[in-house]
Amino acid sequence: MKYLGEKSLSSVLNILLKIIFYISIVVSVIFMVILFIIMFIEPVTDPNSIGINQLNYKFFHEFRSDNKVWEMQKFPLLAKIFILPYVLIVIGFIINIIRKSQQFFKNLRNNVVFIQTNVELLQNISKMVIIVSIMTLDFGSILIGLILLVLTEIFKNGTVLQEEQDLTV
Amino acid sequence: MSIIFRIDRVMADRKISLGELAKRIDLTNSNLSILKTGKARAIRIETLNAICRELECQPGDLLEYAEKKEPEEEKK
Repeated sequence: MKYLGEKSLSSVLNILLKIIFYISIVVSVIFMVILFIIMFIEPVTDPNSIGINQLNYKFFHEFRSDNKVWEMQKFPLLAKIFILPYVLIVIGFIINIIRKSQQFFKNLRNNVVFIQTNVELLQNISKMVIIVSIMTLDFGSILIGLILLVLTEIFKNGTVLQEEQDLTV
Repeated sequence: MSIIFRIDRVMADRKISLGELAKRIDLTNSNLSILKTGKARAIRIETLNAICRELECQPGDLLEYAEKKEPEEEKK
């Protein structure tokens, strides 16, 4: 199996991550809109209401389940105001991780491995993975972030060696 | 670096172009250019051997040690 260059695992991952990137943007926008509605829009209780209120009634009553998410309605305003940007930041980091990973694999597909850009990409990815894992209290992911940080250092050394090799005539 | 590669001087004496020399020693033009402009970090014995063979010179004719740093290097 080929790992680098054209028609390799890297090129497959590049395409896959590009698709995931666009899907995640759409899903994130929908998710944020739903979260906003759940938290800030007051539910209409009258089934005979018309227009936008009818939509509101349908959303809150027909799609309502025993899901704990609906409990968010009862949150104090300050908590609601805090949650929305917090979630937005986490989503932003996740999308950025996907984007930077895609750029990294694009470079690998082009057979460009040990370059400064890849070092910076890996460094950013590892830092963002650590931040996201702390923000989402998913401490298992910190390990992945730390492994990526070590990998960044290896790439940094590799870049120095590559430069040395390129400038050896 | 204080070591200066004087290949351009020897090439001019032998009236040989960069492309011609690159072809003779089986090196790419860009690699020989790196050597000529002093950007090279290291030179292989194999390359030095080929250059000396083709230019009919000694390694000492190609390499020169300068005590002071050149202004271009100081800028770096």
